[in-house]
Order: sequence, then C-alpha cells, then structure tokens
Amino acid sequence: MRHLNSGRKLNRTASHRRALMSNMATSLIISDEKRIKTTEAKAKELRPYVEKLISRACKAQQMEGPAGLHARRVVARLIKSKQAVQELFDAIAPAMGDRPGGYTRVVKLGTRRGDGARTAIIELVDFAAERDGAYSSGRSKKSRQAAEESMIEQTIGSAVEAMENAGDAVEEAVEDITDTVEEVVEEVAEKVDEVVSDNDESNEESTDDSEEDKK
Amino acid sequence: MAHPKRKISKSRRDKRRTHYKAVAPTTASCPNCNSVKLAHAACPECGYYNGRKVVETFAA
Repeated sequence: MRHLNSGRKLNRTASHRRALMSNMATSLIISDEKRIKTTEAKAKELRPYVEKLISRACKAQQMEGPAGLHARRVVARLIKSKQAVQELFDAIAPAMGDRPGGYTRVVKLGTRRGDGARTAIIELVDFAAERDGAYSSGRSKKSRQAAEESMIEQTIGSAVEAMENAGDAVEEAVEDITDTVEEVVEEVAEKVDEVVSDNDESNEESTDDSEEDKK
Repeated sequence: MAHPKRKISKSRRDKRRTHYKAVAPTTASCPNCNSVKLAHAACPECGYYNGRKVVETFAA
C-alpha cells in the first residue's frame, strides 16, 4: 500500500532524482522564456519544487540583513548555479509581486515521437503573461463570460428602464396638455357664457345699447 | 511447491483475454481551430490552450 508515500521516483535513485530536480529548476530559472519542455511526470514533480524556491525568494524580499542572506543560501543548496540563484532573487521574485503561490503553469502537449512519453511545458506564470499579449486577464473563461453577460444584462436593463421612463414622460406630457387644453376650453366657455349673459343682461336692460353695439 | 495440474487451454486463455481491451484516449475539439485534440492538452494544430497561444506549431 502507498500509505504516506507521495511523489514520483522517476526511475532514479535518490541522489539522481535530487540532481535532476536541481538541474530542471536551474534550466527553468535561467531560460530566457522562463519555460522548459519535459515529460508530464517530471513537470509535475518540478512544480512544487520550484514553487517552494520562489516562495522563499519572495519572502526574502521583505527580510532585512542576514535573514535574506540565509534564504539565499538555503536556495543555493538546492540549485547549484549561482547565476540561477541571482536570477531567482533579483529578477523573478520582484516580478512575482504578491502572488500567493501558483507561480508556475504546466500545459500538457501530447505524446512525443520515439518513446511515446507524454510531454508538457512548465513555465513561470508572470513571465508567460508578459510574453503573450493575448493573455492579459487572470480570470477564467467562465468568469469572463459571466462578466460579459452581466454587462449585457445591465445595459439592456438600463435601456429598458430609460424606455419606460421616456414612455411615462410622454404620457405625463400628454396628460398635462389635455389638462391645460381642457382648462383653456373651460375658461373660454366660462368667458363666452359671461359675455353672452352680459349681452343678455344689457339686452334686457337696454335694447338700444345692444343695437348700438351691433352697429 | 504447488503447480498447475493442467495446461490452460487456448480457449480458457483466450476467454480470459477478452477483457483485455485498449481504451481510446479522450478527445476534445479545439475551441480555436475546431480540430480534434487531446482533452486538457494544448492543441497540436494551432498551439492554443485555454484561449492563449502556448506553443508554436508547424501549421500555424
């Protein structure tokens, strides 16, 4: 049973395995593209190994004096290349910023000719983002789609709201106009009535006046 | 030491082997170029994975 056994042996002795991990980590760190192509099994083994080194380098940035130097020496025990240690602490750690782990990405590539081994690429996430302009957002495809959909819904919602408001405004305006028209009509009617009644009164009082008016 | 009393006949051997089957790999269609690719792997035709160009290919 494999209780408490983790990790792959990669068909190597312990020392061979240690050397392999050291070499792969060095290759990944000093490569210009910050990516290496290897087998899927090795890439997956390298992932936690390199992540721990980068974490240590990132934490060393906040340290002062001998603590930072100690971190550098601990890492130097695991990767033998001074150049790689320098690159890791001076270039990679500052670029990683405050990313909470997950510095690397493994992308599977399919089987290789010759031995049919499954291959993969392991790369440093932040450096990959710099190289490929097409990849800018860290969000997943689903959350991007959801965001787009909610944007569309919001736009439609606000448009519908605006339409409704416009409709209400038109209705109100129409009501106002009809009201004013009615008022005007009433006023006119009242005045007509007044004039008519005045005329009647004047007619009653003096027919001469009205006759004169007519002339 | 215990030993088999009889040789396993061709029939019994072959009947046992009827359950030895090859499994086809899971495939998916590439959302970028619509060609068939391995699931959870970069497309060998266009080199895209997860909406991003991952590797250069001869075709692209």
